[in-house]
Amino acid sequence: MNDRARQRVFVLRVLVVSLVATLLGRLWYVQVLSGPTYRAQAASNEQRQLVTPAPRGEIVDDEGRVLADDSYEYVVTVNEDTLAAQKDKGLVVLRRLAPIVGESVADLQVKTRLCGDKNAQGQVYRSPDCYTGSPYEPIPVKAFAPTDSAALTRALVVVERSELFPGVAISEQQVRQYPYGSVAGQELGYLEAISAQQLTEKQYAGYQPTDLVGQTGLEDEYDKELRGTDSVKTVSVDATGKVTGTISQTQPVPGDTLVTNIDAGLQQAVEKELANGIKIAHSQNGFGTTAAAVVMNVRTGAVLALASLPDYDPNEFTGGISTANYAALTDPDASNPLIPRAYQADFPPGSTFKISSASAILQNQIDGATPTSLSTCGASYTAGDEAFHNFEGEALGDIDLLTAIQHSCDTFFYKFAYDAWVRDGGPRLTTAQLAKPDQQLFVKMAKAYGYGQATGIDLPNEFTGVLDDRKQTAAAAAYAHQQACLGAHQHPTDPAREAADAKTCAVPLNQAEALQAGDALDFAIGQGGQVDVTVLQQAVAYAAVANGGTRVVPEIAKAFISSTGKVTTVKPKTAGKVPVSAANLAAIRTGFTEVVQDPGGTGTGAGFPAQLDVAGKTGTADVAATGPLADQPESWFVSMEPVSDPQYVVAVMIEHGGQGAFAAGETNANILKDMYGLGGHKAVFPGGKVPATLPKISATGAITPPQKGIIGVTKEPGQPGGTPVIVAADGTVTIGREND
Amino acid sequence: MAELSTPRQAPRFAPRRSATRDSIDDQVRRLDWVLQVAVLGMVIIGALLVWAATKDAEARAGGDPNSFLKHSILNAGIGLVLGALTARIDYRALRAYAPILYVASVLGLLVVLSPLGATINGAHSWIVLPAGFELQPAEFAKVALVVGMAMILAERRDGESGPRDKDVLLVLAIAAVPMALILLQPDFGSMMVFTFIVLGIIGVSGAPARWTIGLIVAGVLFGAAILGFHLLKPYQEARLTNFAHSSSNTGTTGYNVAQAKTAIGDGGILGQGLFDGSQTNGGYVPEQQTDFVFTVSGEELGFAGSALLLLFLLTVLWRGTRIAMRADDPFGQLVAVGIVSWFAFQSFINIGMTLGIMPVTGLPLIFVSYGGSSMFANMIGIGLLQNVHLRSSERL
Repeated sequence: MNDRARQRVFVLRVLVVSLVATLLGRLWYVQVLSGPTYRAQAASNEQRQLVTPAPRGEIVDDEGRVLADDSYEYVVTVNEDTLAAQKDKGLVVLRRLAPIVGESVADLQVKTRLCGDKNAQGQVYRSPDCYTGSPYEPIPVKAFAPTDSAALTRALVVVERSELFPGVAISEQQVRQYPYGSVAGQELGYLEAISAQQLTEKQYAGYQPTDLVGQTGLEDEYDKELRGTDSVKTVSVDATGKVTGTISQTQPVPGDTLVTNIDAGLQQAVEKELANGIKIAHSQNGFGTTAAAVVMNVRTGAVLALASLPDYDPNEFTGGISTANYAALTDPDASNPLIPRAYQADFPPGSTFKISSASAILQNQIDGATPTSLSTCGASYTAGDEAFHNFEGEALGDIDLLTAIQHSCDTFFYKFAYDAWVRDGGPRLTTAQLAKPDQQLFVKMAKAYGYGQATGIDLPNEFTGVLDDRKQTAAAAAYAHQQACLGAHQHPTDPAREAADAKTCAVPLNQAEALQAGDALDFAIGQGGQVDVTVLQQAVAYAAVANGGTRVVPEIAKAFISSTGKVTTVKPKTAGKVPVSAANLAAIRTGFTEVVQDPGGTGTGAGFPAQLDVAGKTGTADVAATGPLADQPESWFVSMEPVSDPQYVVAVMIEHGGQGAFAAGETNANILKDMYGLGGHKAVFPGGKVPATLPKISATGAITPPQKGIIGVTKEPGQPGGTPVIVAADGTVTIGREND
Repeated sequence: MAELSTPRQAPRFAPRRSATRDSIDDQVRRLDWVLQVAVLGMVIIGALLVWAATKDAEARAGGDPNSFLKHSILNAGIGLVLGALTARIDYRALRAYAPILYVASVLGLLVVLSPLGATINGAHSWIVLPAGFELQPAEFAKVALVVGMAMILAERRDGESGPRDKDVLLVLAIAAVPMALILLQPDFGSMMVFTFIVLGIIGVSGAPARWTIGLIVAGVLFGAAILGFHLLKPYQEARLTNFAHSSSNTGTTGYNVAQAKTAIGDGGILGQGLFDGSQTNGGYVPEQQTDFVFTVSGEELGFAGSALLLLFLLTVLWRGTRIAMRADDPFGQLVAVGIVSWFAFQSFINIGMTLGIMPVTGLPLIFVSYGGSSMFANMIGIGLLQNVHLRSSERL
């Protein structure tokens, strides 16, 4: 071979070596320098996480009766992969399946295609026209109860003739059920698939798009505790998404069992009595359809019953509520059953608010007032040049504060409210008035009782109610003035409204903003819009008077029992003390006792059982001066008993129920009769006992009811206070302490 | 020196033992064992990689997990026999068969384009034979082209130091026929390999340099025209241009490249271990037992194992050029050069594509990828190298 030829081959060799060197260099770059990046990509390539929800914790009442638990249902599922692999994209299978599950083929097609996939035209399917869940798990297309034997028989065809139904399967699925139906339904709440909005919220960090979450009530409040820890199975998948093996799997940790202070029996009784109360109201020309009540332990804040009507059955939400059913639940004409009125609605408190006004008068010794000092209860009270009339024009002459409470004399309270208003500078239109110190004794006391603030109950979206001080009232008035001036020429078709707006607008702004004497007087008797309260706030305020001045925080949760049996008791909480002396509180309690027990008291006609030592206060809260609601006041009654050692407060409000003594008062009395089994009522607490311990839950989930304790101390008829009495299930009464 | 380079004079002035008369033992002893060991190394690694690439998927499909391994061993065995036969016939005698080889391979490529051919992965490159065998005539056409071109360009008239323009035109003409047929399939990968074989042989043949330079310029212009006038099908164009910006569209045409790089990068220095590559076992890289087999090496054997594979490849190419340098005559030299060009560029295009520096084309990795035609043709190529080596007068 000649050297030239060798040189040419040598050039080829150099070229060839450099090619291999290039590959080696690139290999080093990809494998060593960029290795970590590619390894991370590889890891995400090959793993998928399958999340199986942990069994959700039960919600039980104080006796261990199940209010909410997990049941199961059968679900017909379709494997999208298997369908897609078929020539006709599974159309024949869906045609066979349609009559079996009672759905149209078109609906099944929508349900079984994955969001994000593309159709033949290349358009991407988007919710709601597709399945939003995991593409790695079978898609549920139809669920039915195990008791639905007809559906089960039909569905079994899928199993028996599985060759005709490739990719179709029947599996069991956990579902939430509420054995008591609508009882405490509003408090329990319901589960729904987490919304897109919720997924972005911090509190739902780590939730899966397919998760069911509590949307309201206890299910929402304690969602974290109830849901436990999901089982996460990490599987390896191949390029087509087929599962090739399990990499890791965590066991689910079942959610905690929530033991509530709610007593299902009492809750049922209270809901029944509220329905009855609405009937009573109707018999007295009331037309209300809504009512709410709270039964609470005055010392611990434990809520034994929290009810409102109308209510709903949370089972309706299981498996998804239909649009029609949801519309019915949110229909204002049906009084919007979704609203739990005991804490998500506020009402003028009427005379039940005198608890705060009486405290303000006594504690601040307005005009030198003491429990025994006298003041006039006239048919009307003239403030400035305007006369304010007493309820039904009643006049009692000079009486003390306790008697004023007993008879709920408005004019008695007007005097003190007016004098306090004057001390604060009256309407404050002049520089001299503005210079007066701003004491607002009535507003401050109301604030101390918790009005205008959430009580802190362990339920979501609690209302704060309304409590406007001078400044807020002025701001509201200024706003109303502004709106009136804007609206004065904007309602050509409504001359009456134009006239009213023009009249309001004609008043100078500084006068419109002024807190009129009438505002101050209305406020003292819980009217006029400066104060609106929730039924729950009333329970807390009355509990403070009953327990010696402590504002308790109402609590539904009593304890959490983990799946391993670990018990976490929920400690009672307080929100401070009301600034009222023990003597003044005792005086107010006496006034409340006279309301129920002394002749002439406004609550004597309500029918409270003589065996019980009950104190309480009526409220008849006007909601409108004119129009169809003018004679339809809210009917209130808040009671506490026994007076000697108060245990429970019962607050009842019947919307548009008429005078407090009737609809609300009778309902309140009936609730107490139910509790103790008096007046021919069946006792909710047989033997007068409530659970003293927690129910026990065994490893298998079996629940042992708790030990019973003494419900409280009742009095011997005719002997106020003192001697303990045990009321048995049949209503028989035993005097003396149990076992001591 | 000039007279030594003419084949007819070689036996006269360098009398030596006739290769055909050597005992088989003698020939086996005198084989280029470094070359042979490197080839066997590639074949063994290849069989293991093909096994690793197919074992899980076969098992999942309910088949025999070792079926690809068995076929690989069978292919390698048949290949070795073909190679041995090739090595045994004096390559100088091959000149007589070259026209037959050439015509046969062109016919094969024609059959592929006829209804008898089969389309696999978008290219009409296969002849399906009875009993489950498939033939890829393009592979054998490479051998035919190498031998044919070498024969024409090695023909010397007295006093000529290299091929004349006429000879170059002739080889271009005979190369153009199979290349045109391959382009019709279309098999762009083989087309590129053919181009480099032509360039390599003409470049080393001693033809005027204008030919080599002209061909390179023509090749570049041709490539630009193909892309510029969109003469390719969109998927082909996408594949060809994808390596330049593969990360931008991993969802569509860049999928193969992205997954290939992911698998290789996943291997790191020491690899995930044979059979333990998660990307391989998950089947993320398409064609991982054939065109993308290097990804299995990258993931399971890591940089260390893949570098060893490249070292074997380098050894094959180095020994190939060594044989070319030591060949007794221009024919033997050009045959060796053609085979080195073939192996070098086919390997570079194949491995480069898995590493994202070359376009994605359907080329097997020599001695490693699963596939009978490729293995047989490669082994025949090695047989030719050994043949030239055995008949070289220059000894170690």
